[in-house]
Amino acid sequence: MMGLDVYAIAAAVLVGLGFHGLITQPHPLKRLLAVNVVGNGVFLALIVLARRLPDGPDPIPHAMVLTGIVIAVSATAFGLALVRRQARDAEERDD
Amino acid sequence: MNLFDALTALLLVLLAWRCLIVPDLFRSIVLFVVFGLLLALTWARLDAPDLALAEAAIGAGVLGVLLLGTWRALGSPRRGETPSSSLPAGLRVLSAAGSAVLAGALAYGLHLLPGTGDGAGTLALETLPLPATGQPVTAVLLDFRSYDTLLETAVLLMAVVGTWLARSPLLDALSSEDATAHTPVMPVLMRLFAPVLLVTGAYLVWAGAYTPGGAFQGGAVLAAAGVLLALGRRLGTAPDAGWLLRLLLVLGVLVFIGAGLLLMPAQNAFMAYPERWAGLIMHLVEYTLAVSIALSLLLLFTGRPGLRGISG
Amino acid sequence: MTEMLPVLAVFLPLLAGVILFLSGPGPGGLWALGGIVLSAAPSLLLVRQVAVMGTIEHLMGGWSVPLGIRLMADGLSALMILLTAVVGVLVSIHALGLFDRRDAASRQFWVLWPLLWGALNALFLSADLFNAYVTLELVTLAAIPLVLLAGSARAVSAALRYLILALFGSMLYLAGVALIYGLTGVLDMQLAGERLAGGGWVVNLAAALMVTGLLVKAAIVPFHLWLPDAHGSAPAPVSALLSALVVKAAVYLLLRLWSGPLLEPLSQPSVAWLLAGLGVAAILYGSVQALRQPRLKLVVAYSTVAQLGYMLLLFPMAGLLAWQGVIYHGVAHGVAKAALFLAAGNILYQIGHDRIVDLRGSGTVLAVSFGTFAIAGISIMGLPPSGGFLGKWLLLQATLGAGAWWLALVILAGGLLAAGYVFRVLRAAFQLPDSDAEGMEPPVRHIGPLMRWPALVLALLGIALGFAGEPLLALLGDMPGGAG
Repeated sequence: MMGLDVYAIAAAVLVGLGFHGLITQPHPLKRLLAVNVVGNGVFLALIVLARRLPDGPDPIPHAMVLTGIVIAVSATAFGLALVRRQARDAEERDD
Repeated sequence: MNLFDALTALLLVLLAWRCLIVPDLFRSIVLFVVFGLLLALTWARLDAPDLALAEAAIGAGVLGVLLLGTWRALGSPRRGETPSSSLPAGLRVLSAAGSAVLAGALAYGLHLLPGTGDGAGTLALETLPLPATGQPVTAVLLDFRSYDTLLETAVLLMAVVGTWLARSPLLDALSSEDATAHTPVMPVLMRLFAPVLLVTGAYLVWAGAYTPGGAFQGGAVLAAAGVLLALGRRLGTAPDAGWLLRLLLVLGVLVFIGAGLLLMPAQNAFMAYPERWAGLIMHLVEYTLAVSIALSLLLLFTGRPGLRGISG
Repeated sequence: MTEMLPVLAVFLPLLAGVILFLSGPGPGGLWALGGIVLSAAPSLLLVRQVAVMGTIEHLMGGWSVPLGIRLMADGLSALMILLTAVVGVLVSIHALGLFDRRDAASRQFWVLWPLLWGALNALFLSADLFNAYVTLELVTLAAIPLVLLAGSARAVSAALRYLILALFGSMLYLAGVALIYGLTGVLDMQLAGERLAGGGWVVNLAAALMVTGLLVKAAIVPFHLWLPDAHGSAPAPVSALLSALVVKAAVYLLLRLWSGPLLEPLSQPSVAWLLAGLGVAAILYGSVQALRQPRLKLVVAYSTVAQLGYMLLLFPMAGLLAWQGVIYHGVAHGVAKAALFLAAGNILYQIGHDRIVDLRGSGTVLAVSFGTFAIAGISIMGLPPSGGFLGKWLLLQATLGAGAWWLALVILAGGLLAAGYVFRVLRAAFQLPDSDAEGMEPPVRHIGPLMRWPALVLALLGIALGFAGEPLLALLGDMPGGAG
């Protein structure tokens, strides 16, 4: 039993919040933020898991999170470029 | 478990909730960056200093700059209040209920997990004296699971190419409309901080083998120096990348793949290095990766293939 | 040499993409051609070796599991790698005619596509739960920028929607992986499977998260909303790659998990029937939507939504016949769908639009393109002799063997509906123009042989697959892990 860990609960709540945001928010930038909140919840869960070893933190989940952060930021940066392009396309349509 | 942890966890949830719920886009972004910084603190608290650095530098830092820049570039009608949900109230309630179930199930699942883990992690800590790098996370990233790291740098390259194809360069949009460069503070900031960031970044890369830090954290700090120079109009964009820039962008991946493939016939495994050379190769990989990562992150910000220096 | 082949099948395409990135602007059909050869050669050699020797493994970095990452090429991997190579080479030839490396945007096709190829092979070879997440992201992030090559506002919106959903899907998958690591302490699929035996609540939750994430990525109804937009607005070779290979990547991982670490949770009757129910919904909904679309490429895109549904019918059947049928169906669909998209793209390219009502009379002018469409349609409808027929035939036998006669009815209904949307297009095209008013306008643009023939070759391959069942099913072999 991992027991009652507030950070594990926070991780789960972050995933739920992000999911709700993804469904209810119409603005693409906010939807990107929502997905990132989900991701950060998952990362937090992994880091909580890494603390279970007796001889120091488990480096495997840490490496997973680092990889995950880089992937999430790369994808989000690309997503932001798409958000800007979409806004510009919409402006040109309005003119 | 103490009050500090309980408050931090609560604050994380509150920040995320406000970030997703406030209608004003700017405040939403600021809240997200604060959320990222608190997350970095949390990870330092949870024995993950490497990740705290990465989250602060990449998650809150680079992503924060990109978010705020994008907000500026969106143009006035689109940057203000975001439309509230167009979903009917019933569906919103359904979504909230579904999210609550998801969160509850995940919390319960995490709670049920065994209190000790026996497996790859223990093995990694036991095997640690063997590889050339002393830092456990670096050993996993550059040795045990170096294949993941290699593939992840390819993700970065794809995001850069994708950003070019989106043809919405952020730096150009910013410099065409705003006045940051003309405020008297900017040049001072730049002269003061750009060298500091360069030195810090280089230190983080170098130190990564022995202490928290590494190619990603260091690369992100180096990229921040570049972003500062770009905002201060010392760096501009160009329509096409010269060969040197293209080479530096993929240098890390090339060295990584090259070392793996060239040594494969002798070692009988991809990315297995002879013991004498392992340290040298991993350092070479780490340094070249840092350069490529720094440039990639900078180009994700500028948004066009080329860079040019501006004298002034 | 043999044990190096899995590595080469991943890294030579990636290297080709990096080299084409470095080579910069300028003419260079030859560079692109070199990239294709460099990418295809190790794949084909690997498939041959698997056919001769059986499963091939490679321990990355020389580290044994659970510390390191294992690559594994078994029959299923080999078949998917073969599909990728064959579709990849033919689509590449088409793309040589369409994407000029002198053009700044088109040049990026020749960077992203080899990277995508390497990423797909990496996914098909991965035997590690977390590495599969990384490769899945690699596939997604190589695929989405390709959609942008169309340059239209529609493509940008589709790409953004696709990106957000795909990112969410992979986060759900990663949450499941985190739980499995928490339970077992390992990421290797086989080891994790052994340690998960006995199941339990957390295993069910992990399976639910991972499967839902993959269903989002695979565009299974009700997560299909992004697919028609993205696949319908991308340039033809990109649509072909997305529909034939990229969405299959997520389904492949689902099958891999079912036949490995998640066998127990996914074999519970309620779960298996829920997944099959989604499959049925996808088949019926996708086919009906395909019948109603005004534009040719959207018909083909909705057809993908429908055809993916068949692959979920595996779960309640769970015998060797169903396993073979589902995978053969996936391969046959990949080949035929690539042909359909290339043919539809050629039609759009030549007459400047793809509105079905205005196709009237164009069939006689664009005989090769519509002929290709019709031949590829045979396999999509599942008529004999074709690969699509063989896949559906195996699946039908499996359903009847399991006494699920109503699933058999769905399979037949799906075939009839497919006939409906294929013939609707052909009828419009071959309908003679009204009286003598005006003849069919001449094509806006002509296509060269590079664009014309790969589509036809793919369509004919779709038919030939009807006769190639024996060697390909022998390559596929038994179900891994003795599932079912």
